[in-house]
Amino acid sequence: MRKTECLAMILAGGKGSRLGVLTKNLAKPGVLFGGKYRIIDFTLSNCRHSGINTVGILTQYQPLELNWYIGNGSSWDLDSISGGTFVLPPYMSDDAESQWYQGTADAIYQNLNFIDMIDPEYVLVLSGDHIYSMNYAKMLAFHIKHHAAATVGTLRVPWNEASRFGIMKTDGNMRIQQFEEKPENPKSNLASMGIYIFNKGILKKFLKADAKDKASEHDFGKNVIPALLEAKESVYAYPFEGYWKDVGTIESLWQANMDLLADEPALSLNDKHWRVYSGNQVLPPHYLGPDSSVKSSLIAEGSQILGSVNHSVIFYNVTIAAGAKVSDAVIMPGTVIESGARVEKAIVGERCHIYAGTKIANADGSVAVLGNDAEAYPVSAANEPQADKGGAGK
Amino acid sequence: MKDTIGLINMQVDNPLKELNEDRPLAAMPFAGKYRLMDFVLSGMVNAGIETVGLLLPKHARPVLDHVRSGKEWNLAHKDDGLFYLPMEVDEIAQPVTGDIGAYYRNLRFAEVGSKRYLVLSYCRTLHNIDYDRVLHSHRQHNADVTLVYKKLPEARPGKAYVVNVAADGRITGIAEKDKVAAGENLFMEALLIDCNIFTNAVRQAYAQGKQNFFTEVIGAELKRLRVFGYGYSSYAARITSIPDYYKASLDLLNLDNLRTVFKPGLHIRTKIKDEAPAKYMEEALARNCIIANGCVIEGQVENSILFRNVRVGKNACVKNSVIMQRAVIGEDAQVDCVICDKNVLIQPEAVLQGTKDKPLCIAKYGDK
Repeated sequence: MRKTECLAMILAGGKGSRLGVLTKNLAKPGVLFGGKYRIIDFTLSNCRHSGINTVGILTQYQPLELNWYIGNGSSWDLDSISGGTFVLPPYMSDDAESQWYQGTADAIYQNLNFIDMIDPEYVLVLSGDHIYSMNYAKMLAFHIKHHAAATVGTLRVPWNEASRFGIMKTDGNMRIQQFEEKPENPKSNLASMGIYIFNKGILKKFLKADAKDKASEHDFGKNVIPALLEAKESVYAYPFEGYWKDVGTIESLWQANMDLLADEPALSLNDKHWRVYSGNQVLPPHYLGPDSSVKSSLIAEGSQILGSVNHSVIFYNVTIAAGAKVSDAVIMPGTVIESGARVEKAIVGERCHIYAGTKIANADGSVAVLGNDAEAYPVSAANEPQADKGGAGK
Repeated sequence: MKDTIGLINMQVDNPLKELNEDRPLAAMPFAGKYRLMDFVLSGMVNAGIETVGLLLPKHARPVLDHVRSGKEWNLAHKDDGLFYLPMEVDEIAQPVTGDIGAYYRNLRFAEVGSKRYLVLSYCRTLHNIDYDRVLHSHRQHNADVTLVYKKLPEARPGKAYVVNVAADGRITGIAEKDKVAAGENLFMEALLIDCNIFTNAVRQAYAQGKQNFFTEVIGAELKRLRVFGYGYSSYAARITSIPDYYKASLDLLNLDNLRTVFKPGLHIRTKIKDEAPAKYMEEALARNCIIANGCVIEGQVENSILFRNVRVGKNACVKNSVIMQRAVIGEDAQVDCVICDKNVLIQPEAVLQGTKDKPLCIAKYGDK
């Protein structure tokens, strides 16, 4: 059997607390996006298209729905005989150190036995939280070409946002000279995407050292990469160009959905050579009624649209009754919007029921949010939404 | 229905030659993302049948391409699952009449698992039969054979089998007719039979040189065998001509029909293509349509079915039409009462006009 050249380890345990009700019972990589996807689909599809067939997925926060979704990885064609998809939750052992994952580096450290079992040349550390299409094979070729000990995936960000990221200074060959996590006064706009390739030996050595360091936060960006630089290891910055988004907040999740509605979106979902795979539903095509109106929108299978939809992302199995109006909204699967209801600039969770005449919108122009299974009724006095659970807008 | 196997007979003449001579009827695209065989195959799978044999047509490639391992229908099992039953070389060279020969050559399939019942179905009738109920009726009547029929509300042209059903549900006659009158019982070409009776009857009929299983075996044995009918009342459509196909397609734009064909719990499964959700541009104008994933719509679409990955250009207008996958309707083109096959490219500003009785058929371009 051919040896695994590159093993991908996907960090998928994050809570994404700024996504509020959307991550109440679901880890952030499982959040729904773009009409039929979950955020982790992008990373898993990238792995498949990059020729990586062995993937470890590190879960921790609210893993049930995510585990169910990932299954054996067959939806992404990652269930091959020579590789496979391995969900790696924290576990107990006789080792007194074993406990919940304390940080990104600790999560990998606690799974060094898994890495030894697969025994790859290189370990690709990824985040399950990002929306992007990227060929990791190119990054690996770059890593090998430069004889690097480690390579950090980077992209240029607007200068005014640079202080939100890990920022690198490199020499002319893209070798990293300095790495600063969220600097107040950034010296460069080359930002870390939070994805790394390590030679296996280097990774093991530095993770073991990091685990012993009581002062460490066990984070790749804050601790491990700086330690490699400190030890004068060759760490390179691989420059990625293209759409990349870390949807950390309600506002950015909404915006990333709206980005897909452009005539030529920066992230194409229709590239036949780079399909974004997902766990597909068994549903018929969607139906548009005789008086429906749909403009500038994405509509997924199984939905029945009898009303009006403008500039919105409609997931599968959504029902929008005649006379209902939806604009600038993201409507998640199974939701029913009754006649006369209006939804404006909102994210509506799964299986919600918006009764006739209800208006969902925030007066201050921010994104209104309904959590899963919410029911929203009209309020006669004020024109404000009201939900019995899951939390309505502000 | 673990004690039941399924057998799907795809060896029928293709009545839709205007569209594609080499595509078997079973592989005919239907309802935006399916092939006709999906409805029969899914019905069997939904009833818990885990072994299904496909009697492959002469041009088997489209069927094999579509079904592959059977994974999407949950038929990729270790022991049971999907069995391809191809034609022999001499059958392909010299077409045989009737279906008994095909069953005889594949008797082993019906015998090997020692299952109690067999569901036999053709796929030229669109339906979503709940075979669990058929089996229930079969047992209640202590029947040897149960035929599924539908009482037609209106007459339909074209050859079909008609059955006579007595008040107690017993079948008293089967005949092939040139057309079916309103109120007559159309046999849906789906039946449930005890495996032993099937294999014995096929052996005997083959030895006697008989050809047609429905009339010469079932029809001839109505006195000896307990043959009962199961009345199917939901939407069904028999597809034996282009107008049939066109009408059945547009029938789905009626929400009641759509909801009976795609019932909750009786999912129709098909090959997964991982297309993105359909995209509507700013100038899109679409109503009364069924539209599959992967479509990009800039123009106008009305009373139409769009399969996966269809593009409708700016100012183009598609009405009363069935547009199959990956077809492109160029800018400013006008398409009315048209059936476009896969991969068809309609040039910008082209005007294509069929009629509701005689839709214009545009054959497929390229092979894949």
